[in-house]
Parts: sequence; C-alpha cells; structure tokens
Amino acid sequence: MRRFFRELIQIGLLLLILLSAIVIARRSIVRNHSWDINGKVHTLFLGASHITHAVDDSMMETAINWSRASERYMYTYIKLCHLLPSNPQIDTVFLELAPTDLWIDTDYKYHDVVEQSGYIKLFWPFLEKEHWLVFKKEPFQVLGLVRESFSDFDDLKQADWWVHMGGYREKDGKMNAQEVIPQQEVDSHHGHDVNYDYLRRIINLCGDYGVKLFFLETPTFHPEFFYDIDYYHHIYQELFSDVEFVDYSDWPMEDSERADPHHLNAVGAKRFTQELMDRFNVR
Amino acid sequence: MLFNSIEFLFFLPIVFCLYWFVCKPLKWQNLLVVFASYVFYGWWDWRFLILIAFTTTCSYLSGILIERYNSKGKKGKGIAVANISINLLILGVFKYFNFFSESLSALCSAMGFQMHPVTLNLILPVGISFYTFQALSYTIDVYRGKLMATHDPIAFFAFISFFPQLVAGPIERATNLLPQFQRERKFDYDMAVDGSRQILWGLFKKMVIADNCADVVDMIWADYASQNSIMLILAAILFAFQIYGDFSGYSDIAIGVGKLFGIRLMRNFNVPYFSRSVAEFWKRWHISLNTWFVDYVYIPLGGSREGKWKAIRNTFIIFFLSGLWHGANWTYVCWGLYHAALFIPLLLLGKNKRFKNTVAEGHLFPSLRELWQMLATFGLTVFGWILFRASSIGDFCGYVSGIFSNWHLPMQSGGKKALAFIAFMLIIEWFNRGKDHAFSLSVKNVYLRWGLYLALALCCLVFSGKQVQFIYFQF
Repeated sequence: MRRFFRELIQIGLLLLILLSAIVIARRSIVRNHSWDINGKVHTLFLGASHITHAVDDSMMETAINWSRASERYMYTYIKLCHLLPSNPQIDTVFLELAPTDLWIDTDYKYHDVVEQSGYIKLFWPFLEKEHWLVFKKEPFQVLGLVRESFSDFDDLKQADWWVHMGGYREKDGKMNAQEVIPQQEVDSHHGHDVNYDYLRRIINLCGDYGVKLFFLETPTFHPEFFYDIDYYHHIYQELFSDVEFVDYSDWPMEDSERADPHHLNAVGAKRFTQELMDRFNVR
Repeated sequence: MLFNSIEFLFFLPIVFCLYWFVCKPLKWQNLLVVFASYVFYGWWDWRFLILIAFTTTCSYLSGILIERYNSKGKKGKGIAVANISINLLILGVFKYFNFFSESLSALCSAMGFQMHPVTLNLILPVGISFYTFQALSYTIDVYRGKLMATHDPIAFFAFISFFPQLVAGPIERATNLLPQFQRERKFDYDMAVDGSRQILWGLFKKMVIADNCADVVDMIWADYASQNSIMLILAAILFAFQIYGDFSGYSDIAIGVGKLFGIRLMRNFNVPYFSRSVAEFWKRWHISLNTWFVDYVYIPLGGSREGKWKAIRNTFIIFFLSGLWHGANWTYVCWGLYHAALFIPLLLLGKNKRFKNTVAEGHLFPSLRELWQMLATFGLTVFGWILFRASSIGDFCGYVSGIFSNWHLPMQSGGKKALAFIAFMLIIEWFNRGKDHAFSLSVKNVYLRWGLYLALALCCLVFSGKQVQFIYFQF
C-alpha cells in the first residue's frame, strides 16, 4: 500500500511539473506575439457585438474593427494595454457603450460558462493576478476552459489568434418588426463593479496615451423594449460623462438593414460605416 | 458525476482512503461502498436514489422468499415472476411509455384513426437499464438454484449499486460480483497498479478518442445534407470510434476502479473492431449485455437446439430486444434487426462460432484474408452505426443517400487529430489484443513505463475534446 501511494504521488508530481512546463511555455509563446498593426491604422473600433456587426472595416484603410461579441471591458482593457504601447500612431478609439455594458448586472458575462468559454480560452495567457481574481468563485470551471484551449487552439500562429480575438463579422438575416417580442434582461445578481471599474481604467489609459476616446452605440430597434434606458443614461451621466458619447441608437434604419433588434446586417453595416467615415473623416 | 470530472477526482481518493485505511472490517467496507455509491448516483439527481433503493429492496426480499418457497418444495416461480414484472414495469414506464404511446398514436393516424398520445413527463434515471438487468440476473439465478440467496442486505445493496459500474456497466452477474462483497478483501499492489493503468487507458479512450471524434461527428450530423460524401463516410467511421472510445473507455475506467477496491468486474469489450465476422463482433462488443440476453432470453427460449426456425426466431428476438434496450427509438430497434439479418446467415451456415481465438494469434500481423475479414466486418458495423446515430429512420435514409450522391459538394477539413489518435489506439490495442486490456504493459524498464504513463496522462489533459457526456448514460 505504501509503495502504491508513493509511486502515485511521484507520478502525480512529475505530471504536475510537466503540465506546468507546458502551460508556462504556451503562455510565454502567446504573450510574446507582436501586437504591431499596420502603421496606417490610427483608429480602433472596440467593444462587443453591437460594434462587431455594425462597423465594416474593409471599407476603411486607417481603422480596424477589433471588437468581439460579448466582450466585457476587462478584455478590452487588456487589448488596449498591449495595443497602445506597440502602436503609437493610434489616436482614436471608438468603444461600444450599449445598455448591456452599463446594465446593473453587466458582470454576469464574466461568470457565465458559455460566455467565459469564448474568452478564457483566448485571454488566459494575458491575464494577470487581478484578472484571475475576478473568477475566484469558479476556479475549476476556468481551469477546465484553460485546458480546453490547448486542443481548441493548436495553432499558435499569430494570425489565428488575431482572427479569434476580434474583427468585423457579417450578420445574416433581416429583422421582421412584427415578430419582435419586448423582453427585458433578467437580473442574475453578479453586479456591475468589474465592468464599470475596467471602463474607468480604459478611459484613464486612453488619457495616458493621448488617445481620443468616444463611446459609441450603434442603431438599435426600440432599445427600451430590452433595456432599462433610464438607468443606462443615468449611469453614463453620473460616472462616465467625461467621455463624448456618440449615440446612434435612434438612427433611422430600415428593418431590412437589421439582422435582429440589436445588430445590423451586412447592408446596414455598410451604410452605418459610411456614416461614421463621413462624420469623423475616417478613411 | 462523470469519471472525467473534478468532482470524481476528489471523490475517488477519499473513498479509496476510507475503504482501505478506516473501514477495515468487511461490513464497514461494504457499508462505505453503499454510501459512496449512493452519493455518486445521487449527484445526478437525489430522486434517482428512491428508485434504485426500491429495486434493490424488492430483489433482495424476492431472493429470500424464492429460496424459502423452493426449500419447502413449492416453486418460487410466482415470486420470481412478480419481481421480474415489477422491475420490467419500472423500466418500461420510465424508458418506453412515451415511445410506445407515440408509436401507437402514429400507427392509428396511419390507419385513419385519430388518437392523442398519452405521455408522461418523467426523467429517465441514469443507468436504469444497467442496474435493473443486474437485479434481474440475481432473481433468476436464485430461482434456478445457481446461487444461494444472500441474507446480507448490505452486501446485496453494494452489489447492485457498486458505483464504478452502476450507470454504464458492465452488467455484472450476481455469481461473479456478489461473492466478492461477501469475503475479505486485501489490498493487492499488482491489482491496484493494473487497475490504475486501465483507468488511464479508459480516460484516454474517452477524453481523447471519443470526445475529439464527437466534435467532428456532431458538426457533420448537424447538417449532413450539405456535406461531401467523403465527410459523411468519415463521420460514420469516426462515430464508430466515438462510441467505442466512449463505452469501452467507461468500462475500462469502471473495471480499473473496481481493481483499486479489490473487486474484479467482468470484461465488457475485447477488441471488437478486430473481429473477423459479425458473429465474432457480438462476442467482443458489450459482452455483459449480450451474454445476459443469451443466458436469460435466448437459451430459455430454446436457443438453437430446437430447429432452424426457432433458432432464427430466437435470434431475432434477442437482437430486437438488444436494440430496444438501447433506447426508445425505432432506429435502435432497426439497428438490432440489421445485425440480426447479418448474424442469421452465419448461424444457419454454422459459422457463428468459427472464430474462437484472437485474430493472428501468435503472429505479428494478420494475413491478407484476416485483414479483409476485419475490414469487411468493420464496414458492416459502421453502416449499422449510422442507423444507431440517426435520430430517425428518415435521417438515416437522408444520410445514406448523401453518401452516394454528395460527391460534388465541397470538402471540409476536420478529423485529422481524431484519426491520428485512433491510429495510435489501434496500434496499442493490436499489439496487446490477447491481454486483459490494451494497457497491460509488460515493459520492464521503469523509466519507459513511467514515460508512457505520463505521455498518456498529458494527452488526456492537453488533447482531450470538449467534455461530452458518456453516450451510454442515456441507456
């Protein structure tokens, strides 16, 4: 019995050492990837799905859309922490500020396993201690996702990570206004401290690098059907009014330009992108 | 809880330590097994415990009553029939009620009568088919006089609920497992090491082979109408390995865990994809279920001793029941009947017992004839798995027609990782095909041995696919 336990512990320790070595190597390789982007690009579009489906950066030479569906501000902050030092030519950032970003329970997406699976697998090599602490209540869930990242992202080529980390995505479909059912988000008690905290950090970071930051909300169909709009505007006024808010939520769009009440389709994205290019002189 | 979950990673060592260090007397060990097994099973849903406790109590009491009646010269047949009926009724209600109700309604509609199906809103308890059959085997063996009824309720509860094999087999016979709970068990180093190896191999088959195949198989099946024919064939082959990796992997883990506790469970898979005929396949695949049907259905019906037509009838019955056992869907029944159609010609030609030894025994490689036989048998089996995987007969027909007609559609990539690991698994299983399990290492060099353990464990941790529930849990 003693021999069995001794050998089991020895193998376990060896396994732990090997596994740690693999994790450290993987983390090191991914972190050392270059964050340099094309020198012509000086405008970034960041945020979550509202921007991911609304800003077609193939129309622009001097801007890229590096938003990603469901992205919370902690991940956007991590991106900016690497992008801004590596790319001093960046002078403007458009950051999504949708009601889901300023909602009373916006932090639930940090903890929901479906939402996490898209982000932990990609971002774990870049997470520092303060970021890991956000997930202190679900350590095994998060470790499981880190493990899955090894089989999901076999290829460590930079291009693959870049593609996964963000970019414009065409959304199919045409909304039918008759079929829209008003439905408010359900509160799941995770609060909003983390997301608001990282939004403030993004504002400060852009200030430190002399980057002009705009909050941007894309055209949405009757946002009051789905969100507490009064709370949203109140929080912006109270906490983040030092940043200019470019609010296109009521911008007139046809149903045929929307994929669903919250997102534009490819046709709508083209028209909206053109509007931004004209208004802000982005080429 | 799943074997490849964090909860089990904590559960197993705790129970193992308590079993060997704290609960040294036999009764305490059995009591711990019962407690741990009920915790394990209740982890899914505590309500399942009521049913298994009821089934176990009925079977325990029926065993005692049957023996009492038999000893007084009266036949305990009524008791046996009552217990069997109760168990099958429970299984039937939970598993098949809605299926038969909807099928009857569909039949009436086809005949022009309107009938609204009566359905029950019941959760299917995990593993009900497995422990029910295990309990039935006890009752029947006591009735037949093959086994003395036990008067030790704790040992009996441990026999029915033993957690490694509770939810997905092997379906143990009372003659094998119950006596092991009635005698002292001492820790055996060699058995524990062998069990640990078998657990590791089982985890590899489940986490690396089965879960990686599942990724590709699910993707292709989700939209098979727009998949290239080669992708459809690939998905069919990958599903064959998914279900093998999943089910035999689970069995290996179950048997390995049993060895850690000094309990020997029966072998459930014996390299079935190296079979040279369909008859041989059924001697190597899900051995515990197939031998159960042979011993408790086929032979009592007369087997093949009462003429050709009865042999055919009995063969159809057991394959029909085997298909139905797998689930409440006509695809499973058709899968069973498909194999019956392949088996019967061999039976009639007297070739169903042709291959008794392992393929290429004593040789490194198979002969060309043996290779052809294995490939042909594998091909026939894969075709059957398409039926098994399909959610309806219509889906099956659509999938098969796609294989013949979708050559022009664009090819997708995928499955390379799964195929590489399958090749590795087949090589290991081939060279160890005559042994108790594929990872029975006879490597003397300790560094090489440990290197293999670490490599396999790392594969499980680094290359496993997305965690998918064991397929056979739904049966």
